[in-house]
Amino acid sequence: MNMREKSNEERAAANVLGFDEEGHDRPAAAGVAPDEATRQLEREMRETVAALREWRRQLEAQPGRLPQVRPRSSWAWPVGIAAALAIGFGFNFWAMYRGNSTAIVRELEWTTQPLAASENGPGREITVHIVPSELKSGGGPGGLAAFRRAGPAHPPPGLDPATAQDVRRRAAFPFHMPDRLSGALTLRSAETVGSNRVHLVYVGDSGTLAVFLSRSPGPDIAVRAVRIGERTLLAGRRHGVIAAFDAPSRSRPTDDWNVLLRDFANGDQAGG
Amino acid sequence: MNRRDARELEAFLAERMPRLRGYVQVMTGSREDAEDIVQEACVKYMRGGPPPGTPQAQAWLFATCRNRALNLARDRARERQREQAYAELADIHIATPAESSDRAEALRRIEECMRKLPVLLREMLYLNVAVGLPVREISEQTGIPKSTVALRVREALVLVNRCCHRES
Repeated sequence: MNMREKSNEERAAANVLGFDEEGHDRPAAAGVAPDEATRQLEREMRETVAALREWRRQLEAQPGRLPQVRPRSSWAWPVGIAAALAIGFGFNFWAMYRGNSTAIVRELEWTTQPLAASENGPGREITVHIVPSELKSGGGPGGLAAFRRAGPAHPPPGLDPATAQDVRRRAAFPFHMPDRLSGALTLRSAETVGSNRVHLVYVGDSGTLAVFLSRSPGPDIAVRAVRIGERTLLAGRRHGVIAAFDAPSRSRPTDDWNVLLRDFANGDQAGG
Repeated sequence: MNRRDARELEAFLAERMPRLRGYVQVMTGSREDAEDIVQEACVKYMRGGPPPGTPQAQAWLFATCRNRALNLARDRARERQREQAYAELADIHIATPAESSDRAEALRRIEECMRKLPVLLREMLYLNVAVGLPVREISEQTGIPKSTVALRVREALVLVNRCCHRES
């Protein structure tokens, strides 16, 4: 391409575009009068410009997707926040429950040995099918009018006072040790395991209820089922004392068991 | 956002999208890429752009699409091939005028020639000549000096014209 052709093209382009190389408007008559070659180039360029505009119209006329604009409902935020809070509280509750259960299990690991002994020993104990609502439904602590009426006329002899006194002396934490529960279960044996643990055995006509007491500072925990080895105990914490009951496997943690928990752990050093 | 705002936003985007889509298609050379880029920009805009209908909103959409299109064009290896085609184009000297009265053929031809241009020249020619934006406005929206815009438009027109009318 020679210089003249290039110059003609530039001149033609400037004429068609209507501005100079600085971008300033350029009058149509500006510059030297175009020769035939330049006029020809201008005609071609105007055709090119027309084709470009036509092409643009074609491009813009093509159908395209529109973004979906979804109005947010006025209730979406409150509901979303409520759901998030519910999930948060639920998770917290679950974590707390799990944490509490873990803490109790850790504190009750010592019961594995006495439980195994009671299962495998020569004098194997049969766990009494205790119904806590009957235990608490009458009388004073451990009293039960209905049970008393139906209970044995001569309850078995309880623990001798000297042993009971010795256990209370050795244990270095406040707990209650009722001689009788519900008028049907009598405290048969008591022993300390170290200074912070006590193993009690109550005996009635239909079997034995083992109670394990552990010193365990911390917040109160309602009675719940905990798995210790192969056994399931019902255990809770009150006033820094964990009481675990070797309950029948069908028992469910209910308020009745919480009442029984209060019988053993009510915060003072009373003898029961 | 309530229903009224949503309708207003939808109308604003529906009005702007064809032009943006056409512009981005010219930049990227691909309808699909243009569709994706404009959609992406619209979604980004809905998450937090200037109020619809304002000049700021239009500039925001344009700048977002332009940046994305330029990045894409630069990233693609085939753009390098187009640059080579451009270099070859500059040396073409065939004096046979090829005028086509067929409109469809003319459009196909212009599209093909535009594809051969480097993206920065193609963009300026399209915005100025096809869309009709003045040099000053292109300069404001892209941040490119006015004289550079003018030079690019002129150079692009010369090259496309040469491609359309003289290339066999």
